[in-house]
Amino acid sequence: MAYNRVLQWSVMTRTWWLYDAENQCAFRSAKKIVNYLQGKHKPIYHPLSDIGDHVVVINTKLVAMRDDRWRKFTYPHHTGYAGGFSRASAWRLHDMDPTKVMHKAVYQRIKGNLLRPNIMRRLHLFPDDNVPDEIMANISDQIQQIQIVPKRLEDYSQLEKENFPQIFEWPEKEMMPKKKQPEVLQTEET
Amino acid sequence: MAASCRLISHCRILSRFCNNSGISPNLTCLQGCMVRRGLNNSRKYQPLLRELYKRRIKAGPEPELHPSESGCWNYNSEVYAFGKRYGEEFDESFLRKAFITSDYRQAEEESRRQLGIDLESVPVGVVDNSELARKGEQIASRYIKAYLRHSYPMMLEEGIQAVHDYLMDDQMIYYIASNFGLTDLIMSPNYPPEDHMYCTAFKAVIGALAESQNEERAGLFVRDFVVSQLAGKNLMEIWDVKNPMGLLSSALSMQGRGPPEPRLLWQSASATMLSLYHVGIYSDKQLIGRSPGETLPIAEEIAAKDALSKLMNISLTTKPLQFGEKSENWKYDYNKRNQSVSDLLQTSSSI
Repeated sequence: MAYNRVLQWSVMTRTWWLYDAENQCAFRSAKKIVNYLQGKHKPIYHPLSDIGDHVVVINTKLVAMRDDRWRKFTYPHHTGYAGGFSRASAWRLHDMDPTKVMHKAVYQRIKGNLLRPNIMRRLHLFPDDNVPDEIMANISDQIQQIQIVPKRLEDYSQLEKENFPQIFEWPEKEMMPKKKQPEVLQTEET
Repeated sequence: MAASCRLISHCRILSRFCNNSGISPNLTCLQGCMVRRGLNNSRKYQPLLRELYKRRIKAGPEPELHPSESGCWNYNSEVYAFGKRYGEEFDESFLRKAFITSDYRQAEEESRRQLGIDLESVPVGVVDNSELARKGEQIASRYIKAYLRHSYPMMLEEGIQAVHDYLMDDQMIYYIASNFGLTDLIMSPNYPPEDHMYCTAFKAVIGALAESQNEERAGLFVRDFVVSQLAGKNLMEIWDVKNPMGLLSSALSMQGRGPPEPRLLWQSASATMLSLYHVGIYSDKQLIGRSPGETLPIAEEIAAKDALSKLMNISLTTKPLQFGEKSENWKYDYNKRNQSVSDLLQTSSSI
């Protein structure tokens, strides 16, 4: 390649990455995302160099948590005044701001020094996949998701459900009778 | 007792200053300029140091002196050592001539004239190095071109000329000459010598070597000290190609290959100030050059240069230049010329 100037430019520019957080564990995703934000995936990495990339995270509304952590995992907060301590469960925080769980997960992963605010500024969180065009124009690649997104029952078509392989057929008497739909009373008024 | 001690030490300090400067306590020497603690620290001592410091600043730096001013200097042995240092057998009369600048000769004539000596009846007998320098420059120029043509047979003649000009430029020659141990040997009216004197003296040394031995040996000297400056350099940065894409298309058409087609390989951060585009040049569906760039035109231009450098076999990944024993016995054809851009354009248009 010719010209050291452009090679250096190529090394020092910040690349933009896309991460789809749908059905991904927020904490383990954060562990992966901070590597890109801090530039740890680059051979020129140094903890004091500001060479991190941008990461755009979409679908943060759909992040996943294991077991019943949405209920049991809590986020403490203290206002600084006497009696100002409060704590919110994960589901409640997520309900208030769908990007907050992801934001806090990434923030807690980064070492608490003066670089952290600027690193966090390079994280762009979106609750769904509606991303402004000027941000989408920058993206050049995506980060691989950490876990396979499971296919839900409603995602299968009727044909797929019928063709699903079965070891044996249940006898009629073992099958749950279909619930009878209550008949709508035809009243004279209507 | 303590008072007398202090007095004695103070006198000792002052006497040391007097000895070093050679005259009185209004001194230029800063020896002993450190804070003395305890009884030795007289109340007048620090103001003295402060005053000395101010005077040193006001007097300015010491003029740079020729080593012969220090008294221990043997010009003959230095000239002899100069040749031996570079492993060359010089004829000493030629080497001495190479160090005499025209300014020195003129100053010598002027001093004789002032003494009332007739220059015609009693000539100065000093020949300056301008003739040797001319010869040296000619040899260096001829050798560099032949060496480059031999090393890069695919490179266009314009590129050879550009690289030759880069090496023979005054700035480059001065850089080499100023690190060559010439400073003390050059005979000039002032010390240190001026920049152009270094250039002339270095070229004259090449000429002196050719006179002492032969032109072939002088060529090897040029290879070792001038051409070696190209090691690790990117020739496409030295040679500024004006229209690389046009040149590339005519070069490809002459080889019977398809026209160059620039394609965007990938891009990043396009909507920001740190935008980056990687452009690849394809010909017949083959990637022949690629480069990053801040904008598409810049990336395309540099990718075309990259493709050109690969066509001419001068890219950074090709075999490095051969120095030392490997190129000791090369036979150069001094009349040979590489293909030039005009040849290329004529051939491609006729096809």
